[in-house]
Amino acid sequence: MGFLKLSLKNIARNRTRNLITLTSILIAVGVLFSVVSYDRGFSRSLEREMRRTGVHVTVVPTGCPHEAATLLLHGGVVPDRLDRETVAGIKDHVGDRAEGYYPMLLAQAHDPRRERLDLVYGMPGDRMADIKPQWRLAAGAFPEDDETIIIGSNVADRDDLAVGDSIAYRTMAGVPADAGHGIPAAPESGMLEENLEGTSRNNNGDFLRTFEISGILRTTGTQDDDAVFVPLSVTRAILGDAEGITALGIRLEHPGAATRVIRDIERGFAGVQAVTADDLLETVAGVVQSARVLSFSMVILVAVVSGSGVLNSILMTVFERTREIGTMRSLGASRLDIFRLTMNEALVLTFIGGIAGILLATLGAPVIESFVRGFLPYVPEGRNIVFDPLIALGSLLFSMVIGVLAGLYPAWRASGITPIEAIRN
Amino acid sequence: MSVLIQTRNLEKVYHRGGEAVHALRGVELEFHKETFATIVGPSGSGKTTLLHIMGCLDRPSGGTVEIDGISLSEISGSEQDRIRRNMIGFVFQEFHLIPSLSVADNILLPLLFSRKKPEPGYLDHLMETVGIVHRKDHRPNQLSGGEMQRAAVARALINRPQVLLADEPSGNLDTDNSIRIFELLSSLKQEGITVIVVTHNMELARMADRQVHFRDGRLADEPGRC
Ligand SMILES: Nc1ncnc2c1ncn2[C@@H]1O[C@H](COP(=O)(O)OP(=O)(O)OP(=O)(O)O)[C@@H](O)[C@H]1O
Ligand SMILES: [Mg+2]
Repeated sequence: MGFLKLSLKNIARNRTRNLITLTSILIAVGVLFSVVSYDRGFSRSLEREMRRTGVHVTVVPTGCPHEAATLLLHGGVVPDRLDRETVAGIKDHVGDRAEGYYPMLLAQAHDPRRERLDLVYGMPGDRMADIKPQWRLAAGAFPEDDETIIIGSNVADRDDLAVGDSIAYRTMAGVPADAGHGIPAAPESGMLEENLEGTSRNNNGDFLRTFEISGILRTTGTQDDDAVFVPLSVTRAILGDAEGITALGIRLEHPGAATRVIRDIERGFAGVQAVTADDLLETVAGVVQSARVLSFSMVILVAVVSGSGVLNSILMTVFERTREIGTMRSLGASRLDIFRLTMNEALVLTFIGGIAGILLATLGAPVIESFVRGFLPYVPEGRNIVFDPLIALGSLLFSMVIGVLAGLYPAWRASGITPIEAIRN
Repeated sequence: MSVLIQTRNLEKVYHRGGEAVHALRGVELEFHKETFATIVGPSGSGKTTLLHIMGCLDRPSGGTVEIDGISLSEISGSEQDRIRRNMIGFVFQEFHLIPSLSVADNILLPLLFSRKKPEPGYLDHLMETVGIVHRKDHRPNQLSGGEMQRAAVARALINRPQVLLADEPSGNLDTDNSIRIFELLSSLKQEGITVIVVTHNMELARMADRQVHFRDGRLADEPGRC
């Protein structure tokens, strides 16, 4: 028989109490493991997603560019616009370092028939696939003209929409026929020619324009699921103004030159700021940071609670076993032996609790993931929690540290028990 | 025969509240190797106190105790632990077996603290000697009082001590079991062990080679050696 076996036997004596203690450790370590795993996985997926995007530099009006970028990602509408001259100037400035330009215009569009307010992204219809190379279509095809649009999977699910169905958006009355020419984003494409032929007046006197759904996106796990993607001219018609775009995406020939291009743009133009995909990454990461701080405070809290649970449980067994401990001292156990026996109990509890916590968190990852998707503003697609042995090891270590801290006082108390005081009573 | 334990002017004062209780008042005693001695005396005369001090469980307030030439009052706590582990076996009136361990594990427990491996066959030999072989894997609460005390004796012997100290080992046992325990204890001197037993039972006390009479923290009538 060894020290460990003796400690295990003691733990087995107070099953209920120790089971409760174990559960609290399990929760603490499970939460820690999930938070760290998620954090790690999230950063990785985010980076992957960002690198895959076809746009290397995004130019937005000043204000806070990061805020604007965040808004873009989160599906908000950026208030300011880049005007026509600025855009032309930027294009001139960047010159042949650019491989392509992607003007984007965001709007919120009302569909009175579905009674929905949709977030509508206007972008060059023939090059949507370039901007979002990670997109896969669940059905249909990318838009082929100004009358066709594609929708995110949630939009489709919510209203049971299928390819070939139509969506009607209220547009501003009196839109000039050349509204789409505000930004000659893709002059080679005829799609940007504004076309009001499909516009009709409804009973309320609004202009309604009907679009056919040409494609439905496969679930991305991002905000794209909740958005509608239309040719740029359509957003313009919805907004009813001819001027400006929300952002100008630039695809560079050499993505490595992004920093240089950004510097040039920011030097040459007042009122604009340019960000790289990396900057976007940082912005989103910043949002995640607050969530991270919150979850880590939660981990600390749970750890303190479970730690005091361990302390309490072990201290109780020490008091209950005062006599036994005294007997062991009289049989030759040193103070250190008793300290070790008691500390072992704390460590065994936190070890088992730690392993169980990691196991449970790993098995429950999908549940946690969908839960997190519910409250984080932006979550990269795919699985974000991946089992990482290093994180598992770290979490176990964390658990054992709780054990050491919680076991210290009871072990010290136990080792102070003299044979006499135990045996005399 | 040579002296194994020697006390000189041994004093023990307990402080209870503001009051000092003189449990031992200048005890002069010698115990020789391989003897079986009993200590008798009225309740409160200091028998347990003396046994605890000789067993390195407590320290005297004055005077000295030597075991095998080692002065117990001059050594450190960890040296006391070592003496308890290697030289002394203790048997208590209430047995003090660990309820969560089997009888065999209880007997082997002291080896855990002395970091020794069980000698092959010695556990079985001991269990046979005390007559509890059939109880090896039982829990203490499945044993009779006599069996528990015999297990406790085996536990006290597992480290092959030079001295076995027993404080009223038959206090919780019936007559038959009491006699059995005393026969067992008295047989140990053949194994080279010095046995010192505190008892209230005068008849049992007479089984010893020597009886020490205690009264008011002093030896009553005996000169202190034999
Ligand atoms: N921890 C203590 N604090 C105060 N007084 C004590 C303590 N232990 C023992 N005493 C006192 O010391 C005296 C001797 O006690 P001790 O237990 O040695 O007697 P004893 O001979 O073993 O008695 P008994 O036969 O009843 O067991 C008694 O008066 C007792 O009350
Ligand atoms: Mg007594």
